[in-house]
Amino acid sequence: MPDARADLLQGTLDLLILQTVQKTPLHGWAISKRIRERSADVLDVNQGSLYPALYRLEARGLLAADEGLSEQGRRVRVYRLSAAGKKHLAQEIAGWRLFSQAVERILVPA
Amino acid sequence: MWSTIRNVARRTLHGSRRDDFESRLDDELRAHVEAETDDLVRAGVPRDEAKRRAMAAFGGFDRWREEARETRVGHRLEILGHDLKLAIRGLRHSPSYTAPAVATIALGIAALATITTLAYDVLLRPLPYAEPTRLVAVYERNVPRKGDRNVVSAVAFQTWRQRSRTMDSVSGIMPDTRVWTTNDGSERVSGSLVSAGFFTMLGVHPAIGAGFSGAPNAREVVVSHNFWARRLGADPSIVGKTIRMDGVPVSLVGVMPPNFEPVRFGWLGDQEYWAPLTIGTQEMQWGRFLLVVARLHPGATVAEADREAHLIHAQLRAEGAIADGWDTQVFPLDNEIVGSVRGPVYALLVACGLLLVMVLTNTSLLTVAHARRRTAEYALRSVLGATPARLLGERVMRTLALASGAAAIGLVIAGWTIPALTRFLPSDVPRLGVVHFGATAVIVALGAAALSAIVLAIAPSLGQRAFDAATFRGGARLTRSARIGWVVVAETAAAVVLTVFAALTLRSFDQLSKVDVGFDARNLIAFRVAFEGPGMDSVTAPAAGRELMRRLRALPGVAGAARTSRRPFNAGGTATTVTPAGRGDRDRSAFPTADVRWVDADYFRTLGVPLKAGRLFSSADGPNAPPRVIVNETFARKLWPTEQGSVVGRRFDLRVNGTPTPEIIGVVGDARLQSPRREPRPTVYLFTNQQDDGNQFDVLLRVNGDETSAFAAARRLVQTIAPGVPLYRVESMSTTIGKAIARERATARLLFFFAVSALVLVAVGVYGLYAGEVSRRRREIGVRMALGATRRTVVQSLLSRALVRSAVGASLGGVAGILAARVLESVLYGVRSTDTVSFVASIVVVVVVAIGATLLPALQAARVAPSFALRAE
Repeated sequence: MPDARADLLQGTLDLLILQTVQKTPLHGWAISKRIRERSADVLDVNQGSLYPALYRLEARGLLAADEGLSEQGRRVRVYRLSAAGKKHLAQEIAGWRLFSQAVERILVPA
Repeated sequence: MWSTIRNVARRTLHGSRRDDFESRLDDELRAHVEAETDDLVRAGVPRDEAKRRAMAAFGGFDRWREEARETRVGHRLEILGHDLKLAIRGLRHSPSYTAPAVATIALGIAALATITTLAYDVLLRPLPYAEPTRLVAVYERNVPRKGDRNVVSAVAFQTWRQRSRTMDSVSGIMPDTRVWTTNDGSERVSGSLVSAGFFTMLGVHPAIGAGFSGAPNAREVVVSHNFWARRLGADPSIVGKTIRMDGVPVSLVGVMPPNFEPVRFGWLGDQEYWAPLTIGTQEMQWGRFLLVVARLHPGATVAEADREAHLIHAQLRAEGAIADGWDTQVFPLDNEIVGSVRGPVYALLVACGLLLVMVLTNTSLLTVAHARRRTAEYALRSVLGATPARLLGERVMRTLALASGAAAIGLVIAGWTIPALTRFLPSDVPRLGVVHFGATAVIVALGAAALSAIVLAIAPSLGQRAFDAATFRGGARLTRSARIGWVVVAETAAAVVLTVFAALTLRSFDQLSKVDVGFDARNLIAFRVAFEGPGMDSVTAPAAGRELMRRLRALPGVAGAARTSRRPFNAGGTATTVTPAGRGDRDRSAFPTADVRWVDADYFRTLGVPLKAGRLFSSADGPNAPPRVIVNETFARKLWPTEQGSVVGRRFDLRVNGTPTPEIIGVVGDARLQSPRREPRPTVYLFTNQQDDGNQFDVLLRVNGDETSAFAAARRLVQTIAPGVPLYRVESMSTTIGKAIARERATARLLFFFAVSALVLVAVGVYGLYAGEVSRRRREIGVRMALGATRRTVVQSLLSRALVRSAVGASLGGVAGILAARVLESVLYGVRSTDTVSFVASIVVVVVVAIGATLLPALQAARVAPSFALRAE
């Protein structure tokens, strides 16, 4: 049975995170769950990559974080898209579309 | 208050408060696991299982935490601080590694800082004069005799002053002494006569006073700061007034600044005063007697000045103002002042560098052994999530902390050894007064510490990489120990070079101290006296001289007394070209130069110079007798090379004070008059009874008993005969010889000290290496012995390996030694820098020490019981 899970392409994690928190601010676990659900369990964000990525995006000013509480009552950080993040996301999406269409064209038999 | 400051400081350093960050991170990661667990429970997984799965999915908790942390600002600094703390703690917890490593490096750094300070301050620190690189020394040179650096005639000096375009101010300088009289008695102080523009040329001006007026025949004097402070009571009002020197009033026109360094080269000694040099008609008649210093015209080079001086001399030869065969030499002044110590200082620098190499190889071995003991710890930590970069960082931090500590200790030691070295070195080493602990030592120590830190941080990874490879490439164990073994080879090689240095200089010093100087220097004392000044005239002075000698001979405890114009080993003195009688003026330069000495009838007997042919001076050789001289054997051989028989009765041309061609009445044995190092030169002895040599002379006394009481008796005698006339240069002949070879002795001792240190380092390094190897290989040795290896074969295998390594190291060291010993060439006497005895002895000593150091571990290996193999399983 082929593995139904796909590896994340290098650099796409940032795109996925930014897109996920575009509408609603979310905390770390919720981000990873949302990505898993929206991709129908195909994309599983490794937690080991998730948190470094979150901190990195925050350090770059693309994400902003607020203090919040998890469902279990733990103090967590809720991430939302910053103004710079919005701009960056738009660029990333455009870039991704271009890339995926190009790949698609190559894969479709002529 | 304090904690606020600390928090602010921390926030600026780390970007956010560290504790906050940590707890937030913990909360966030825990929240993640909890949320995941709840999610799984909702999906129907039992809570315990859900928790386990959530944790498993998250993976190594610490590692993620570590990665998240690394994204944070200030993380690096924090790690650095943490590493440093960890490093220091680690070092403190393993004193068996830290103590010897720090001590070895500290000593190496101290030695290096000391010697480089000496080298920099003496050889490289610019002379304390304005634009010192523009100062040159100008000499004459006799071409046919292949002469070098001859003093200069007044004619040449005056011509350079007038005609040179490349040299701006040409100044003459020559040594001088004067009597300084106080209520406590009188003493002779030394100074120099310098051209009036001398200080202006140097660009150094008196701290007080205007300096020389430049007026012809001015009776003026400039004194050193020390002279002013010690002898003139540091009285500023005295400048411009008259003081008495040599009993004659002179005007004190200046006091030099305290840090003024007198120009010392050639036979210029220390100088406490400077008086104007006058070149009158009389001086123009003298031979060559001046040292000359000049300042290059802006833009002119030494080579240009040299070319121009040659041209001017060619003109002078053409004009007939100077004899054929004489030419010029121009050298940078700093080279003349410090050139003589360059060889030994370079040798010491090389020795120090090699010692540092050995220090580093030894501490590398220690570090490798230490790292090996900690392999398990490192393995555990890397499994727990410490990154390789982090572990390397820690190691660098540890070696950095270690090396910095060693540098600090080394500098403290150098703060003591640098002044100790300046006291240890003979006082005639130039510029010793400017050698001070300072920036040079600190920079060198920091550099050496950085180098040590890097080497020690890399060292274990050499061993480590081999270890990792060995783990996968079964049976590769030998490569590791072999690779480290080569460190010992390098160390052995360095030790051989250092031992060769010591052996060469020690043998050279031994040769030098065993030199037959041609007379018996034991129990021979000397002083100089000048019957000059008030109450002394052309009648009383010679009478006082004769009276002194007569009464000295009568002193109890004095076996002989002699006078001479210049005592042995007071280099320089009258010397002139001699030619066989009747040759005229053709090609005089093709004939030898002879030292000329005036001596009395007792001179040869008192000194123990043997008579080889003819007779000694006697009362028959009075002022009215035809001129008669005694020569030494070298003189006879050089002037009449083909003569087989005696030269007694022969005559030659001697142009000293217009002496006509004298007759040789005797030939005496050769004596070294210039220096114990220099071969005897042709020498002519004139008789004081026949030709007056002035009222200033050296007295040599052969004493039976105590030297001090003989000096005291002589001093009392002089005071009775001529009150106010001081004795000076009071010294026993053995002390004079000791001083003459003091530099060689000091060099040999320092290099000997380095060689001993090198041997200790080799012994410790080799012992450490094999002891470590034996303790690691106990089991293997046990297995071998269980399988039938005898104690002998075990010991043999270890010893033969040690022998091969040290033999390879020693051979490399021998080759390196041949190259390195070249720096010693100028220092060595009677020994070539490739001296076989020194090389063979050094190699043997180093190999024996290395094998000796292997013996103990080898015997330990032999004591391993075969049962050890079983027990260790």
